[in-house]
Amino acid sequence: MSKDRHSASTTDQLANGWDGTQLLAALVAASRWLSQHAEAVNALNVFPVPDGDTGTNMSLTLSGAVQDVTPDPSCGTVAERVKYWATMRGRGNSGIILSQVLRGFAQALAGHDRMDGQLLAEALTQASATAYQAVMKPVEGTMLTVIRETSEAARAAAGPDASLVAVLEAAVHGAQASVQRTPELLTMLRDAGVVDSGGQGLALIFEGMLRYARGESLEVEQAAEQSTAIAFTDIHGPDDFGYCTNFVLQGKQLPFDTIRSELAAMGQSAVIVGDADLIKVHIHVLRPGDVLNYAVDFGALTNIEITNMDLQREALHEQTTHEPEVVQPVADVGVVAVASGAGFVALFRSMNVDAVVTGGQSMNPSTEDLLQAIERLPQQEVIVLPNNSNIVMAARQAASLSSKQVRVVPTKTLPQGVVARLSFNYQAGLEENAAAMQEAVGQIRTAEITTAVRDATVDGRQVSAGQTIGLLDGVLVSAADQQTAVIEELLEQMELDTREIVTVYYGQSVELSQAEALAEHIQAHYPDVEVEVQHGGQPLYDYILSAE
Amino acid sequence: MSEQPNQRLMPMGKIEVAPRAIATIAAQAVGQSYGVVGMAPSSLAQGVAMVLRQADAHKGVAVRISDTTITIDLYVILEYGTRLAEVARNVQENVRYAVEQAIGMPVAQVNVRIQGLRSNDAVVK
Repeated sequence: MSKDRHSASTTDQLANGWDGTQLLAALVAASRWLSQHAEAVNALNVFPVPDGDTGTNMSLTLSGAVQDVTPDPSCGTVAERVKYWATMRGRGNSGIILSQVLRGFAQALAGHDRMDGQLLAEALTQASATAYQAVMKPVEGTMLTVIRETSEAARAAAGPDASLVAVLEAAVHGAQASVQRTPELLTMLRDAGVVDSGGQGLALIFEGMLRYARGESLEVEQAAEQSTAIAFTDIHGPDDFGYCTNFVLQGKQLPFDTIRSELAAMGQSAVIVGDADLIKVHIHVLRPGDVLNYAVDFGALTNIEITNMDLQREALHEQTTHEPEVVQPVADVGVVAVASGAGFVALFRSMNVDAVVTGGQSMNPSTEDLLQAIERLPQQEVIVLPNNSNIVMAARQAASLSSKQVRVVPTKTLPQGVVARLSFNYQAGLEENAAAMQEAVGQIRTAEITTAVRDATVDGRQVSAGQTIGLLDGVLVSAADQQTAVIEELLEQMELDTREIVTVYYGQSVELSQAEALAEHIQAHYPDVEVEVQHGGQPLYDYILSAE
Repeated sequence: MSEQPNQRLMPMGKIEVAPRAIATIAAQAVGQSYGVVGMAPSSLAQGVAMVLRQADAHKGVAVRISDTTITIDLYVILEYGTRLAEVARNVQENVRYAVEQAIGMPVAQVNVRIQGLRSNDAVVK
């Protein structure tokens, strides 16, 4: 750790301005800091749209942008090279936006050898403008908002006396505050209770640069190894054989087009990028020596890496079989359940459901999400529990598209899904289980308590925004200003005298103590039933009650 | 079932989604895709790529419905300097997701046809 710390005098120098070498070191530090947090950023990704994983995409884009850049005294030159590689290696939506940010940054630094606080603020402003240019309808509450507000914070701090570090500090604070505000701008984020993942990635990049300026440590090691494994599976299919050969060729006035076409003819899967000074080569060949001998006639070779792909694939294959994601099937019939809320997801997992697809009221999983979950299971016979009336149709669609035998048990609420799973017989076949689940679903009642978001007349009832509303098996039966009044009415209609167990699933916005108070209240009024409290963690619904 | 992919038989009757409606949904999703700066008319045979106004964006989308599949062709103009293959891939994912979400039916193919690039390296001061 002390190795990362600069001496006091270097830190003072770094506070006032950077040359190109220092700018590159700061970006490398940012890349390390981001890659260390990539998994945490991935976890924020709530959009069911498959943007891969934001953290991984941004991290690979930035590490790809800096890894082949040679230090240069000029900031403008370094920024230009970083921009070039970011464009070549941008991955995923967030990676493309990041490459545009770096593009704007490079435009502002062009021709400047040193960067002071003033220039940093200008470069961030240009980065924001360039990022916004490449989209027709910018969505606020995303990475775009964060880069804009970061640049505004940097500009506000960039007075004539402001040091580089002071402006960078303001930028980091601006970025962090902007990330925290993203849920206010984007409903999808608010519903999921997270901040924007791309915005968080940007904030981490600025944090990494600031850590470099202050001489603070950047502990990472494992993350880098992980990303090389990802890269391998990404570009290598099962049919590749021979030696995967990677190297960087450096020289003067290299005939890039000639070298590229001649090298590409020597092997398979060639990815050759670069310019007249620097060419990066990735190619699969049977005799790696031939490629190296050809290239060395043009200049100096660095970063030579030759891997035997047959062995590498075996090693990778062994690794993946140890991954926890590959759940051992517990029965011949697989079960896929849709759930929203950390509590419900954990509950379904604890009941050995083979796959849990996240989604619910506000963010329905797509047909494709469900189909992928079905196809991924080892079993040939699968039952799907949609657990929401809006998802039943997508589940049926997925069932009809699947190559497997699939039955959808049209559960409309999460508790229906829970009892359906409980009635599952591990020895029985597909049809028998589907029928048993369907029957179990008919025997429970579900009450859902939420808040009306707008005025409406539903099922003949007048509801105004802000009122608490109660649904019984999906039908609105009660609306009132007081939550307790709604709960009373629901309990009455659930005919608790004829029931044995009542489960209170409390939502994201409710404390355990409140749920326990409600449970006590139910127990006091209906002494014959057994009352259980479960963490559901569901968004929007304060409570979901089930009676069986 | 003999129904077309944009039609489905429901207990209360048939639901059919017009290709034009699918085109509007797709155009909306393209508009929010990063790296796309405009759409070009799908009917334009000549070389010049004209940029459509926002209200006409659906004209840059061709929806083909065959017996079994929905295919969507998008005629787009991308930002110069972005990695085009990656931007196109993101567009495909966004459009497929948005259309499937809205109409609840699967989309077989989304083809991105890049009609032009716009360079916008204006420097702000």
